[in-house]
Amino acid sequence: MMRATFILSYLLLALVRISWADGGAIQFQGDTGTFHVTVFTRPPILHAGLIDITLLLQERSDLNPLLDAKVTFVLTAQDSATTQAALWMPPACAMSKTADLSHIPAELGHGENRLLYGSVVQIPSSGHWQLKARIQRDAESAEIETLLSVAPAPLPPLAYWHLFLLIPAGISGFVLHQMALGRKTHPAAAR
Amino acid sequence: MSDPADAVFSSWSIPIVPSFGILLSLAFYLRGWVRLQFQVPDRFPVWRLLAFTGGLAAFFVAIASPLDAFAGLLLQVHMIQHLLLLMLAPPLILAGAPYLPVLAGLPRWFTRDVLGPFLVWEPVKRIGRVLFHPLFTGAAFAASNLLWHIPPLYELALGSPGWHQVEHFSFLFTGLLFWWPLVQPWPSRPVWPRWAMIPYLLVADLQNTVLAAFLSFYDRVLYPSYERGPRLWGSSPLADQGLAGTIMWVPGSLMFLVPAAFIAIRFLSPKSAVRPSEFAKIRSPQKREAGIVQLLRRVGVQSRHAHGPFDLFRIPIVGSALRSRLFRRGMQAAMFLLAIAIAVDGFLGPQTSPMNLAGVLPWTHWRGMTVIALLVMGNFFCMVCPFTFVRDAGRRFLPASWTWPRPLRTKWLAALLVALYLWAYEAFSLWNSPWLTAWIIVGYFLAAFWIDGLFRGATFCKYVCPIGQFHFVQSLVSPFEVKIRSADVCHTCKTFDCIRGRNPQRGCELELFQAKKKSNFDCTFCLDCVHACPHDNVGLLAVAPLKDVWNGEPRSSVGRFANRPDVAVLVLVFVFGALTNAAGMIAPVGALMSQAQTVFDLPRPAVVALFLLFGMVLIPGLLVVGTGIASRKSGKISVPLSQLVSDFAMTLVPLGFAVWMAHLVFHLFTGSHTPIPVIQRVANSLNMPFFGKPDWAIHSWAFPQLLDFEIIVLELGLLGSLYAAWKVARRYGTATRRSWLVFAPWSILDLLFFVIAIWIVFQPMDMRGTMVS
Repeated sequence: MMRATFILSYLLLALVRISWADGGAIQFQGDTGTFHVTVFTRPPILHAGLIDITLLLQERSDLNPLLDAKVTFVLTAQDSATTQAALWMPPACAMSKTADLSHIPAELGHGENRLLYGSVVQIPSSGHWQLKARIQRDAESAEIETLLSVAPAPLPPLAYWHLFLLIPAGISGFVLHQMALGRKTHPAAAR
Repeated sequence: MSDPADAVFSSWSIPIVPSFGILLSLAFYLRGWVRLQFQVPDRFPVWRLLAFTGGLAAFFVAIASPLDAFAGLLLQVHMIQHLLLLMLAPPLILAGAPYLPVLAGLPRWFTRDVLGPFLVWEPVKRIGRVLFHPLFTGAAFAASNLLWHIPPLYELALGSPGWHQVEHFSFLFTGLLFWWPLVQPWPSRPVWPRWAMIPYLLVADLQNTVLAAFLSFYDRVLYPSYERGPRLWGSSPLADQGLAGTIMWVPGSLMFLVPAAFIAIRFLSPKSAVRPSEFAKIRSPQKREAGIVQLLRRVGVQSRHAHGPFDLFRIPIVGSALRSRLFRRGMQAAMFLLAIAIAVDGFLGPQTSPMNLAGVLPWTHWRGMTVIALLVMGNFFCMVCPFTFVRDAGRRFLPASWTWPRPLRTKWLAALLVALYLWAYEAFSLWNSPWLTAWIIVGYFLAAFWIDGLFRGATFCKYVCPIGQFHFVQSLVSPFEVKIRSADVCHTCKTFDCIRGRNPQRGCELELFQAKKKSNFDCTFCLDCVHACPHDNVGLLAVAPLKDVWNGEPRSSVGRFANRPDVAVLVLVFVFGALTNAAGMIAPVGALMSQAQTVFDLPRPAVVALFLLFGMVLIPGLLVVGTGIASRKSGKISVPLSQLVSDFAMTLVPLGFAVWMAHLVFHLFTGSHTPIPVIQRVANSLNMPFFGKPDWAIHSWAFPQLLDFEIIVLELGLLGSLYAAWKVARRYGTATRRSWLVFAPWSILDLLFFVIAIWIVFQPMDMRGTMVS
């Protein structure tokens, strides 16, 4: 019991230590040229497999969002010694994945927040990945880079355990229903 | 879109599950409200409907509008979102007095058989009494409000979409609880006197004020996310926090103080003594409950006869269209022309499957849409079958008077043909060969022409067509059935036109006598019986899905399932065929077959035949027979094994359907747009350039949660099969314990099947029918 409480507390604290915004972790925030750039990733803790990268581009002077730029992401594996191929990944064919990690166009209106440029990317293996964002607006271009730490893809039971709660829930509902049927006291329950 | 304001206001998203829940709630409420309005119009005026709809709309705005998109960036926006969930949506929903309308609007079988036992179960009532007691509702509301504003918990919700949903759910739930004693939705009764609601509201306002004042005046940013996050339009996090506190304070307090003042004024006014409702006057809880039950009976919830079940034919426009011969003929003609186009393109077009109509439409779209139609509506694809024209042509040019040989009037031939089809599909990669697909269509045309041209009735549909058999079996899960509206009308009928026909209208060619028809099995939805019945007594009625899987009663033209081993084998071929068909496209099975080809030096058709022999015949046969023997022994029942196995084989239908559904809907979504470039190619080859040039790298409707969807479908299939097996076991076991013993071996078989199906969906898959493959 103590151990479970400790693990739970640790997980909660580990989660809240990361700074979040828009349901994703902020991977980069800073100025480049006349731009102020914030990069988010989802899920908050990155695993090999599908991740959602979004970018908020603002005017450096007044922090107004800019929506007329062209943004491209580039992902490069950094630490080849520690890069491990994922043991398992969700069936990738379920997504229109970007095969070329050296040129990932980020689109506006990609997600719920229409101020963000974004793209869903399939990271093939764990390790450290360098993320570059290339920004082109009119004649001005800029680039930022940050390092992503990518954990191995979780095994299916860990990644999808919550979905399997439906079975015990259904069986519990059935058992309760049988108990209720066995003890019905009112004609309303009668057929 | 380069204007940020436009971008902000267009930041809407449609969260699928909650939106579906909102729509469904509204549909059930509306249906029940219409019924109740007839019975007790003074209790359900229009404003209640408007209030309920407004409450659901407020909930939708909170979770789908830009409020949700920007809640993570601006605390003030997040606060408005929470106020909607706590203060606006709940009282409006409750003002709609949703309890009775929703009960009356739900399918009758669901209210009566599923909810009914819970609603009158004493433990549930006890929990309800605790849950809706003002002490608990007030405490739960305050606790939820305070706890979620503690920084670590608030940060947790901001960082994790899952926790964020938990937070929103708890706000809505405790909001509903809090407003319950205040709104006191009819027919619930107050626990505390009305005046007690004034301190109740004031205490709630006090906790709200303390929290709001803290947020407003605290000189540091309380939630680090808002400090570290980007600042839109240069707003400072502290100012944002202050504004959020003000929003919580002013509009929040008004939501408590205005009702408190209103109650106080009414309470102090001698003229406006609150009129007790007719139910509130009844002191005895039993009498009161009986009154409610009586009301539900009047609107047809408890009674089997007061109101007929939902009838699709009664829906304006849709019902008329479905009944219309012209509409059906039009749809059949469209499907016929499509089949011809597919065959022609299959013969003459490029032989790369994703570039050919024959490579995409039949294998990806038609199959996927068929299973969806079967689940949502019924056997609508037989209804618009393209082969109907060919069958009619056969009857015109050939005698159509022979009798189908008696030994073949079973499902054995159909089961064999289905097995052959599944073998050919995998052995010759039919999905990857437009040319072979075209030949299959031609073969189908010829078979339909000759068989129905030579033999009487719908011989082709009933005994031969493998696609039809698929529809017959899978439509056992459908929620609609061609069925009589009133048994009394059939009892007085002497002409039996529904089966004999009424010149020139023919009766049921599949020999299903409506009065004794009990399921969709063998029904092609041709609606001949509907047109033949002189009493207009046949409808397209809502039924409890799956109930025919465990129904042991005899049915017209089919008899008891327990006495039909041929039907059981057909079902088992479809069920285990679903598994082997899905397994055929995963990497481990593909590698295994390639290895077998090399090691044993066998051609692919032979290897596939061996794979299916084991996967679809021998292993399933052994498993099912073994389970039957174990079930007989453990339950100590004396019925013949074949009868027991035939009966329980039907209970595997939900699992089999789930595997087909997961598999075919996966293809439908991943290959959703593939016909567009193919149609563009065909149009270009016909000198119609206005369709544009084909884009072979076209996107699809595939979404990251497709695997989640597959898992959930399989789980629902498992639960359906387990429940069906339990219902059949109850027929065999006289006592509950005996039933469990009969049931146990079948539940293990169901679980084993489920585990294999789950393993399959987790494997790397061949992207058939798309350019990726």
